Amino acid sequence: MVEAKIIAALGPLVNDRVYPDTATADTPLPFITFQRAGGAPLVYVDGTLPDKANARMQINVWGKGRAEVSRVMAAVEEALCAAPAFGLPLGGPIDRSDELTGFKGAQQDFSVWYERS
Amino acid sequence: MITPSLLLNARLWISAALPAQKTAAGFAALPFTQVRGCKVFGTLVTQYQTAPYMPIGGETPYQRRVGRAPASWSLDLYRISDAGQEMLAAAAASGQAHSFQLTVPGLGVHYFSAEVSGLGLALGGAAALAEISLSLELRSEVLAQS
Repeated sequence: MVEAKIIAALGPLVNDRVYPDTATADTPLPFITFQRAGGAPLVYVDGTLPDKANARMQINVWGKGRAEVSRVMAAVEEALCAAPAFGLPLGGPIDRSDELTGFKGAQQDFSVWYERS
Repeated sequence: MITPSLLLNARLWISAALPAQKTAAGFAALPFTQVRGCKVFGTLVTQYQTAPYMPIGGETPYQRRVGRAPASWSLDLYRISDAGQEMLAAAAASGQAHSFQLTVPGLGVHYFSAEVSGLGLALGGAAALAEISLSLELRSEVLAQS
């Protein structure tokens, strides 16, 4: 599944602190969250599905400072574009910040193909 | 209200054999292999040649139907490992006419024979899937059987 592929590719960048959707409040920085945000549907004319599927994955990096976040996001892009993930960036990173916690963040979307089963 | 025909669940089949009789029953008796990974079917056309006809006596000239026009068919597939796609590639290499069966929900079965006149491997950007585009030249009538 795509979740396992994302965790396997990005885990080494942040000591395996990669989580689907959200992370708990006490998670050490930096960490990564991700969520599916659509994708390209694919179905053959005969109504069957291929064994590969596509997902638009939003990757969110959270850290203590802008430099740290930018460094991790650059590493995310490098890890996801390389084998075996072969993701395609869908636009560049977008910087974010959280007023409540003071965390700095960045998000970037990738097109990722993965094994359906 | 009339229900329109959907192309979803349409299936294409190929056979290296040609029927002894070019009838629906003749085609139906052939051993067909399904071609999987189909993306887009082209238009099956029954087209006639025309020639200008100038009637004597002052009537309006018009294009008169004189015979069948050659017909082509196009086919786009996602490139997958599939026995039917291998047969299509073999058909392109051999230049021999093959038999085809196209079933469309609500429209029944269509049989015809054709030879592959073009085969392209369509590539694109990093996120694209490899596709095959084929051109086929029809060698028989399209026989519909509902």
